[in-house]
Amino acid sequence: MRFLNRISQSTPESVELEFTLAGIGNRILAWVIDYHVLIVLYGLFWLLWILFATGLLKYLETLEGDYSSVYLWLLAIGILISFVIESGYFLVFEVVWRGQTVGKRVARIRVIQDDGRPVRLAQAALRSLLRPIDNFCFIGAFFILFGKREKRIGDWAAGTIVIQEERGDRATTLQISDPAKQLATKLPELADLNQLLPDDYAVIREYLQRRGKMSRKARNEKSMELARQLRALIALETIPPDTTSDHFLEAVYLAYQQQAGNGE
Amino acid sequence: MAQSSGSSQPLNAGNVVSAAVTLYRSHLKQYLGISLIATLWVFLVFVSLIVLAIVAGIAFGVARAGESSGGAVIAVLISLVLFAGWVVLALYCIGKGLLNTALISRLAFSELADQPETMQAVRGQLNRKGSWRFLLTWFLAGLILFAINLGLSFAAAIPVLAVSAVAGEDSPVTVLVNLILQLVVVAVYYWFWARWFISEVPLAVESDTGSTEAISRSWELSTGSALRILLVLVVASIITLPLFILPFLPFIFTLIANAAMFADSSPASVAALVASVIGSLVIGILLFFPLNVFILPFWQAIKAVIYYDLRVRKEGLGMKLRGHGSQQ
Repeated sequence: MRFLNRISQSTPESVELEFTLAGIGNRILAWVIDYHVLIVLYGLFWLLWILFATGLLKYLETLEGDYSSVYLWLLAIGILISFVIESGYFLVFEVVWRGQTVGKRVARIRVIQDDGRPVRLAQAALRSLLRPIDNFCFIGAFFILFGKREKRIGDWAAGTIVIQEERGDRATTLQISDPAKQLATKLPELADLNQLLPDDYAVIREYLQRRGKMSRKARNEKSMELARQLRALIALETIPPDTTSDHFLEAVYLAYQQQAGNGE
Repeated sequence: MAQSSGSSQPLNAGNVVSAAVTLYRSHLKQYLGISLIATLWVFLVFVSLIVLAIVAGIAFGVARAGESSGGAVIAVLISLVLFAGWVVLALYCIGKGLLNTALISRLAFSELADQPETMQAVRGQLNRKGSWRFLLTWFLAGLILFAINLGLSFAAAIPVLAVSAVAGEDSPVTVLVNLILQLVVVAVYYWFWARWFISEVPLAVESDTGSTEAISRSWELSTGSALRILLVLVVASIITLPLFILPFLPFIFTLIANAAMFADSSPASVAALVASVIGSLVIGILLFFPLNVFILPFWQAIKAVIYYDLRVRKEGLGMKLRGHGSQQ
């Protein structure tokens, strides 16, 4: 969509690549999800740590000697481990999942290096270590909001950008009805399917994929509208009787697919 | 003009917010101008209330100085007439404020739908529609949500009462049941709230949609999308959070600075405390108005993108084949 920032990068092999930047919305969405996961992790850790600490303190009471400063040490170690959990969470996920965390996966975004290569340990570590600074007073958010390449301080230091995952074709199998299958076999003789461009085909597929979630009235109108436009495009003189607009669209979709398949 | 085939993809929650930010930034001056007008209309309600209080105070002061019972009756009558006048003025001002608020969403939507309009033309259209329609939509949506809130609270109170009758009022079971039900009530309420979040946008965009139709349009379009809308609102709130905290800072600082006074119960210090708290709240409200000028367009852009995205999903908006403009 044209309201999202795009950026083109050249790889070390001087290949131009175009990316859609993640955008402030997805960055915050991923942030919210990741910190919810972290809250659960913190909760689990502190529960175990408190159980461990009380057990240890009870045991020390049975021994001789002054152990009164132990609980302070336990607290300090606990805080240190919490920091390790936070940094480690982002570090491990970004390395293992090639630039994604749980939140980034849900938001469909990914960290990559400036030249398009996947992030490695060094970049993930820098991003993770500078995260507390970016979180402080929303500094990182301001950098993302006002920077042209949406980089927070950690991204500048590590030489990374955050981009949207290009969505591949969803593996939904389209429901094609029997009348449409029959019509599809006759269509190449009745109409000039060569007039169809890949863009037109993409629109028909988009409609067939999304029609199930459309409201009934709007779906009927859209189906009729597309069928009318399509009929003019492929110069079909007469639509066979008892054909609904949805059947017609399905048939054209199928016929185009078969024709493209034969051509290869 | 021949156009190429294409379709608009549904947006996830994050992209709805990003698109709104981009829209706001690219139309900063225009949106801020409209937002200033909308905020001034609502500010007028606040200012006129202060004027009303002063005039009523003077009237009572004069009546008391005259020491006749007739003077007091006249002062009461004057105050009542003024108050009635203020209510009418307030409704008029809120209507105008809401119309201008919706105007931002309308302009943002036409930008999204790739059919930009001029502000003057749209403002004229909305004025012909009447600001009372925006007031009515706002009032109806508020009323419905109020009723839902009331109903939910009653519905939640019954099991809590039943459990407390069996287990005792202070038992942990009662406390737990109460807590869980409170959370459920909040969750269900927000679900409904999301369903009517955009109700003024169809009113502003669709020429043949009236106040009640706008409410049902919002309900229809948001079917099955309430959770995604709530997610958008969470993400958008985080962006505006720093700005919203600002006006409350004087109030918070006053409370902290006067913390010692809470312990002291002498009348003089209580009066001083009340005065400083009220003073900081007034400052907070006064700060809120200029800040609102900046926050409002962002939320209206969010509403526009949500509405646009719902129409893309539900009605295939923007899905078209070559050589045909999209029909609204």
